[in-house]
Amino acid sequence: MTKTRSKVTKRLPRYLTEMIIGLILAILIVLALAATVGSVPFIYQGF
Amino acid sequence: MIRNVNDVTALIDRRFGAGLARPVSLLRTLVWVVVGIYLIGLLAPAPKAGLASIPYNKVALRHTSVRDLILDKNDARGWVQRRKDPSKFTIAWIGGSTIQTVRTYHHGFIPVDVTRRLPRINGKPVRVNMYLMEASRIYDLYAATAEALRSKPDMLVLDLNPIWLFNPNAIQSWPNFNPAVLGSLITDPGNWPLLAATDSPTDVALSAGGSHLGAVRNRWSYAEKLRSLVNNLSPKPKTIDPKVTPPRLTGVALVASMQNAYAFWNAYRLIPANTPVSKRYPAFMAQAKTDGSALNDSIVARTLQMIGKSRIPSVAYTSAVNPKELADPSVDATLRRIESHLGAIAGHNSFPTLRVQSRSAVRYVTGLKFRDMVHTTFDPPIVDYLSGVICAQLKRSRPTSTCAPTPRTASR
Repeated sequence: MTKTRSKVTKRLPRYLTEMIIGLILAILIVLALAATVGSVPFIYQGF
Repeated sequence: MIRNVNDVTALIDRRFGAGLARPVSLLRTLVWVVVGIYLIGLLAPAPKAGLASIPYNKVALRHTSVRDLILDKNDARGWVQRRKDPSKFTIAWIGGSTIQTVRTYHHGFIPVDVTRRLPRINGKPVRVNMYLMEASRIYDLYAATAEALRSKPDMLVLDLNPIWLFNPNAIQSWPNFNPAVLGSLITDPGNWPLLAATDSPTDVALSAGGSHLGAVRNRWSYAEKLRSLVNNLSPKPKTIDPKVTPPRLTGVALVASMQNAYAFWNAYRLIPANTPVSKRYPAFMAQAKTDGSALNDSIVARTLQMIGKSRIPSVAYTSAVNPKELADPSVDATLRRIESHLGAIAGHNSFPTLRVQSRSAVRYVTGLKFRDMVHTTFDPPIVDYLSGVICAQLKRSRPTSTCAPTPRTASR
């Protein structure tokens, strides 16, 4: 038990890094998807 | 002390536990990315796309039994999915601007006028789910038809505009439908060749992502919020003096003023830019390819097969064109060529529940008025015709049906 806890404690910085980077990427991806949605207006002329 | 890149790497490893250094670590990070996107959809939900968000439903269709289901042209959700009401007779009506009647101070719809002639079918009030896609092309009609069939309407009506039906240079105008309809189309291997021709890897990825992640599916709503935020940060535009007419730009100056590629292709389109306005539609129609080599043929065939296999009573009709245009023998010959080709495709894809009216409605109907080659301003004759065709086809498909158009009144 102590050995396991020590293992987890040792790896905690790694897990935290993965989580934070993952969440930041998620926010950036959602922002990028929203930013790249087209804004083509309906151009009725000639249709 | 930092002396080189190795020292930097060692520092990062000490502080951040060598995160992302191993493949398993990268995998865990990707899992957090997916979890994060899911959480964003939960914690910052986008407004749902409903019928009330569609402009036509707010005013023009408010007091009718017809609702437009098509969302903004940039919205990857494509359409509203409306739950079927078993107490109503539901007609799915699919078409482009040719199912509208537009004149000064009036914006009408052929499906609305048909419901006034056919208020009840089989003892139930008629309700129309209208898939109105202005400037639609044949692939857009195919996509909307797939979605309409998924909703299992009691009847389906499809308007085919002869101008674009077999034009190989303009097959799709609503690419936002691709992710929305991929899930429906991919289950039938018969659709795979067409999907391979029109869908990009981005469409596939966004369709897969959007089916499970609200933040991906509702990105148009997020984009609208983002745009309004950014617009508030923009400086106020200069006031324009209404008395001063801005110079009409041409050539390179015109191209330089365009904000997106779409504006370029709209100005420099498939026909010479100096084609008179009155000759544009006939010029587009003249580009129809009816030798069997156009992708359009596959799309039309797949559409008819999809409709026929559904066994839902259906009518696919070629919309009317202005009879004045047919005074030009070349225009009339082109239309006949298109009608004949559609008839041949329909002949190879015939089903008992599907009626394909391959000849343009102008051959059967008189008294229509138009503002150009295809857009009507006075529709009672076509409403009479379609009401009769709908009832006839319904009775042919379901002999016990009760369907009878009411007489036309002076106001309708």
